[in-house]
Amino acid sequence: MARDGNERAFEEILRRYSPRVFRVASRFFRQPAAVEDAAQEAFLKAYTQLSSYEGRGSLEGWLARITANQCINMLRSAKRRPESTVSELTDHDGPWLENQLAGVSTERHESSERGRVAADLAEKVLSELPPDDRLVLMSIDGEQLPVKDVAQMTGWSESKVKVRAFRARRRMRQAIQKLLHPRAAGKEEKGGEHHG
Amino acid sequence: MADTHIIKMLDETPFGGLRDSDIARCESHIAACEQCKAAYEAARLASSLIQARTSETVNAGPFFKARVLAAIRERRLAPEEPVLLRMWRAAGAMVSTMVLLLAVLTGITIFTQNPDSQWQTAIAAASENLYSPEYVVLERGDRDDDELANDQVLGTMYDLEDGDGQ
Repeated sequence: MARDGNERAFEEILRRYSPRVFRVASRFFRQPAAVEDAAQEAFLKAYTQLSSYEGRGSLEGWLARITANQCINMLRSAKRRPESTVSELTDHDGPWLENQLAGVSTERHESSERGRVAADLAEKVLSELPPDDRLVLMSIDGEQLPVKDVAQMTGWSESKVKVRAFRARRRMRQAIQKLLHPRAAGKEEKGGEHHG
Repeated sequence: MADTHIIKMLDETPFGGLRDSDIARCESHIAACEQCKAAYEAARLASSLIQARTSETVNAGPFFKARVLAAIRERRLAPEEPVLLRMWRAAGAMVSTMVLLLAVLTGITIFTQNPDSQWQTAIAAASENLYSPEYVVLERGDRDDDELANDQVLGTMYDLEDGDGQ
């Protein structure tokens, strides 16, 4: 019905799949306005392309794929630059990193403030990675999605997803090492091939 | 020793997905390897940061549904652009560049192949003009040099003959 342009039917799709679409868009953007913009564009695209949906996979997966592509395109076309670079730590970031290194439990962020500081720092590091790397890291390492699901969502082969994840993890790790031990990180980058 | 380094394993597997045996292997290795220790700490932090970031999710606002439906209606009401206009918008810049390039190449081809063109005639006339400023300045100078050289040769010859006669 929604395919024939039935607005009521599309309303139902909106209601049912908004949480999933917002979850995917939240991996790329943090500001609620940016997430809503991405989600709206994804739903508009879905509405206009609904006739091309062949019903092979789930509608939810199809929508997730449209959303991921939409977010990647938005990030690429805006050529977003991080507002602050990774090397610039705020007053909160330093103690957080020190606590982490001292072995403070990281499994549950004890206070919402701590969680927010960690998320801020994560955003700083992630915004320096290419959008594809970000998607893979957030999906596999963050949400623990299987490689197969990520491959379905992105339309890539499973081996491509694995290679992307490998590179993204290395980049993320090296960015953090640069924060913690700037000199040692440089050495590892140069000698990484021998050591890896 | 190199095969016991753990950096590759850290990059291949999500930190949260490491098994207990992997963690034990990592911890025994980093006790002796500074480089792997730094990598291990960074991987652990990266995992924490990603978890913290993933836990943040924005939910749809109360007006989101109305906003999307309004955008759909707006798009439906907007008059549809003709196909040719859409195609032009997509490929216009490329097509016009190609046409311009083709025109320039055609112009160059025609211009270089026509011997009667004014430019070529002017070049030919200039090259045949013996009284051009270039000719007067350069050629006359050469002739003077030649004459001087001839005199020197003749003088040398006479000197030689005189020498033989004596």
